Amino acid sequence: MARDVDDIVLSSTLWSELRSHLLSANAKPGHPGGDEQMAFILAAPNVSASRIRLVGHELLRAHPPDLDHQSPSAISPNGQFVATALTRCRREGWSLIEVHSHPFDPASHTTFSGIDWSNDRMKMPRLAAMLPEPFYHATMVVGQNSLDAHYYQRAASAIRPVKQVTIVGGFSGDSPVLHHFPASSSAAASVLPQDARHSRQLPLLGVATQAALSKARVAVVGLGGLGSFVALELAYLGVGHLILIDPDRIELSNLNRLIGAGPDDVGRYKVDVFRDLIERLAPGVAVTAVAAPLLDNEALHHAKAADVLLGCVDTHGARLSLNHLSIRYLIPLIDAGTGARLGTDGLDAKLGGQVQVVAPGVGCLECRGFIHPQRAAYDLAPPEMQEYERDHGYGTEEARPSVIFLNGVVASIQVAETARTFTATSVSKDVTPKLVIYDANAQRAFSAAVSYSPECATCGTHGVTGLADLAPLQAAFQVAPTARPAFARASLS
Amino acid sequence: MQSITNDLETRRRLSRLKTEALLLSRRFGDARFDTESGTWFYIERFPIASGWNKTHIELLIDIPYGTPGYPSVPPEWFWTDHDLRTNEGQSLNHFFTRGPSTDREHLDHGWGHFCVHLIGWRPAGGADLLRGHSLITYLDLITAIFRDQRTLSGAR
Repeated sequence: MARDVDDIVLSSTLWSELRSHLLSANAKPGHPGGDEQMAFILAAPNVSASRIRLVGHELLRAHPPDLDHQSPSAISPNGQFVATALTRCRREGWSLIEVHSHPFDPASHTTFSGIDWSNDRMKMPRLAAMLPEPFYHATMVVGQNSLDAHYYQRAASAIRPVKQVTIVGGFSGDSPVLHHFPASSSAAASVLPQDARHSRQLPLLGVATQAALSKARVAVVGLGGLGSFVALELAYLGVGHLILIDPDRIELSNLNRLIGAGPDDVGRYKVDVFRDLIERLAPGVAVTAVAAPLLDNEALHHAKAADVLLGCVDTHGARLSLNHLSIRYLIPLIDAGTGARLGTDGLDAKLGGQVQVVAPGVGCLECRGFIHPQRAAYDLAPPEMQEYERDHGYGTEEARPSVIFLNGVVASIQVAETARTFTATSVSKDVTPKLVIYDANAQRAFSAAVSYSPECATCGTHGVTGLADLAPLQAAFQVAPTARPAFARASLS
Repeated sequence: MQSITNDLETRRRLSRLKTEALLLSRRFGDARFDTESGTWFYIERFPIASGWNKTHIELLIDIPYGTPGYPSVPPEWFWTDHDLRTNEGQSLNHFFTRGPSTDREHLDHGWGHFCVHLIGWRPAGGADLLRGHSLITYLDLITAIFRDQRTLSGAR
């Protein structure tokens, strides 16, 4: 049986531009701003292990010259506007989301009109016949207080509802990074959790947050000193589905900080050990364990299905990869790291860490300067190149110092920020800070301002936001480079 | 091992390299790149400062082609004339006449392997390649390195 499109995912930047185009603040019947408006969104599919999402990349607004008809109750684009969008879909591989407004509908269940349905029944099969898979075609209607969306499922030759529209990123400096708008046709009454297991934390988190956590898929990438704490805390917290990704087996030298692991676990994959632990400690939590690096196809297949990514890695290559996964697939990343620097006498150590949020419009690890280019290049190079660099003294695989109490504090801050992300989803306040710094020597944690650069090559205006499966992550060692040119020997002087 | 797919990522990299080649060809003449997959960038006559046994060298830059790759990942290694020496015949630091095992055949064809490891790298966005780092700034760095003959040749 064919799977349905679960949701449409848009960056907060695109959503803000779309809403301001569709719903003029001064809209009144009989005035120019009171007509229906429309736009196309070029989108890329995210087809993962457990769901299909359409990820918005670019907004194409329809202005009066692009329209054949426009009134307060109807709108239709002209052939040129449609042809331009479809040509890009064909040439560049985009899927298409058509959006129009019902500007005077204040209802909490805005939905498609009979005319909308009639139009979609006519044109959706035609477009499916014109554009090859994996082209998806969705339509969306936006009212003042709600929205609805559906798409054409080729396998069933039927129009099927989309469950929700997810907005990722900050609208302003203090906005939450994750919003869900249920689609009117799919809105189901929420089932509030009634379990005794979480009863002591319900007064602190709230019922809506606990419900959001129970439905959430969270990927924990890296099961070391940080990730082991994070995975177990998320399971205790009541996250519904945990995806654990780490390629390593447990070594004796890990046992000073892998919470829950013991001598009998040495030699086992970390993800297997923590899957078993979680199944015993919190049997209600679904766990997917992937013993592979993030850029492995299976790991990516599961990671891109997550609602939130938690970065608990200790290399700059893995951190850069997570950064790209987050921006390309519009999945918020909550990244954490710890650091320990020994003093000259070996005793006066400086300890600390940071937790930060990556999302469109908020900024990323690259534009904040948290990626060391040389180390990232080494980490992401093919194995034979890494060996070559090590042979020449460039690369290093030295074990860095690490201690359990530092990991525990930073991991708990990371889990708290994860909970706040889902809190923000449910109540639209109590927002997630974008950067929290922990100074272990001073015994204090504080939030710090972060800047967003529209010129960032990754998360900026011309970056990779929303490219999803049209430009998937891929390790360099998985592909063969093309032959280089011959040396001309023409330069001797 | 897969071939590099003609996905949007490759097309984006090719588009960027095309613009960079256009800008660099104005300064250095013939500037070419791998138009199929964007894995290398080549300049036939790259001028270097005095003090070397050549006035111009060939440059072949390896472009990081994974995803993430260039421009998030900076170029580090480049190939140049294997017989490049100082005027006094000294060989260079950071210069290797034996590359990785997979490139041995390539070395036999006259190239030497040279590395420039970067500490700071803030790649320029797609809109304006002159605001931030790119192959243009990378080549500026190579120019500067060849001016610093004492360090490069290991002279005391």
